[in-house]
Amino acid sequence: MNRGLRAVNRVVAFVVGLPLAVAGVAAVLWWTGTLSDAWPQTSGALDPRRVQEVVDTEWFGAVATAGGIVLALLALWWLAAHLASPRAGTLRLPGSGADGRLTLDGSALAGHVAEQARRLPGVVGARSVIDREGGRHVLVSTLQVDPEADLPVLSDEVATLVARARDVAELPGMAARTRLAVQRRARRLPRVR
Amino acid sequence: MSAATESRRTRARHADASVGDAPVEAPAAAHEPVPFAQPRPAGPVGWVGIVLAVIVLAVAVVLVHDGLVTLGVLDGEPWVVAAADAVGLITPTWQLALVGAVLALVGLRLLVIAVARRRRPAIPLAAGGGEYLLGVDAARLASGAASQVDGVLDARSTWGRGTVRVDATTDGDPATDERIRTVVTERLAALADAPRVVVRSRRARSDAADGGAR
Repeated sequence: MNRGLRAVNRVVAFVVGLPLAVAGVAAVLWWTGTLSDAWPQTSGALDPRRVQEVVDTEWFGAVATAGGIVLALLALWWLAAHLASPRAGTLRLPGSGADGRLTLDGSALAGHVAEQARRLPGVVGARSVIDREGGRHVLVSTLQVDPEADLPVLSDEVATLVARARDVAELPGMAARTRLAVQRRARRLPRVR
Repeated sequence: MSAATESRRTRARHADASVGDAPVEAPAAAHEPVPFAQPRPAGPVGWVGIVLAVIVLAVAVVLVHDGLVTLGVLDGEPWVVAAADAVGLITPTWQLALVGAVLALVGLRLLVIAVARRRRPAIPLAAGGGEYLLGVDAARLASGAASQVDGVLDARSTWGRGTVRVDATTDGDPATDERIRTVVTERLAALADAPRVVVRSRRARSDAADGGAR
C-alpha cells in the first residue's frame, strides 16, 4: 500500500469517524436526558419519513444518480488500489532503444537472490520479490536465520549480495528491505553415529 | 572503547584491506550501499480502507437506484423511503442508546486509526542492503549467542527501547555474566545503533548444573 492510499484511508476514516462518534454520543445523551437539559430545543422524537420531502424535490433524481455514479467510480478505484499488486514484473534494462529492448524478469532475479541467500552460512530459508514503491524498485527479502548465526559476518554478506543484484540488474535507484527473521530455536544437525 | 565499536572498526579495516589486496575482482566494499526502504506495515489503516470503500460503494448503489427510480427509469419505491418507513418514528429509548453507544465506539476506533502514529519497528543494520531486524529477532540472536557461552545452561532474552536483556541460567561462575555481555555485544554489533546489554543470571540447582554443562 503506497503513502497516498494510506493518507486517503486516514482522511476518510477521520471524516466518517468523527460524525459517527458525535452522533453515537448524542444518542446516548438523548436517552439519558442530558441533551435536553443542556439544549432545551431538543426534539422529543425524530421522523426519518421526512426524507420523502427531499426525494420529492425536482433535483433529487438527477443529483442522486450523478452523485451515485461518481461515488461508485471513486469507491471502485479505491478498492482496486488496495488490491493492486506491487510486483515489478518485467524490468527494462539500460541499452533499450529503437533497435530493441533489453528486459529482465524481476521474479527470476529475485528468485536468484533468494537462492544465493540460502547458501549463506546461518541462513536456513529465503524468499525475495521485486516491488514498485513510489516510482522506484525495491528488493524485498525475508531471510530465515539461525539464532546462533554470526550476525556481523552474515549482514556483510547479505549486503554484498543485495548490492550485486542491484548492479547486475543495472537498477541504480533500487532500494532494499531485507528482514533477517531469526528462528526461535537453533537448527540442530544430526549427530554422527 | 566498547566491544561493539571495536567489532565494527575491525570489520571496516577488513573491508578496506580486501579492496587493496584484490583490485581486479570487484570486492564487496566497492559496492555503493543500497538504500534502506523502511518497512511500512499497513496495520488497521489497510483493512479499514477496504471496509470503507465497500460501504461507500453500497451507498453509491442506493443513490443511483433511488435517483433512477425518481427519474422514472426504474420501477418501485426509493430504498431510502422504504427504509425510513420501516424504521418509523425514532424516540429516545434504551435500544437507540445501545445503537448509539456502538456507533460511538466505531467512530472513536476510526478516529484512533486516523490519527495514530505509524510504528517503525525496524532495527536497521549497519551493513546496508536494507537489512533490519525486529525486536524479537534481536532477542533471539542474543539468546543464541548467550547459549554458546561456556557455563550457560539456558538463556532467554527480551528487547525493548534499544536494550536487550538476557536472563541466563548458569553454573555459578561469577565471570559468566561478563562473558555473556561480551559475546552478545559482539553479536549485535552489526546493528546500526549498538544496543545496551543487560545480563541477569541465576545459578542453576546443583543437579541441573552437573547434568547440563556445555
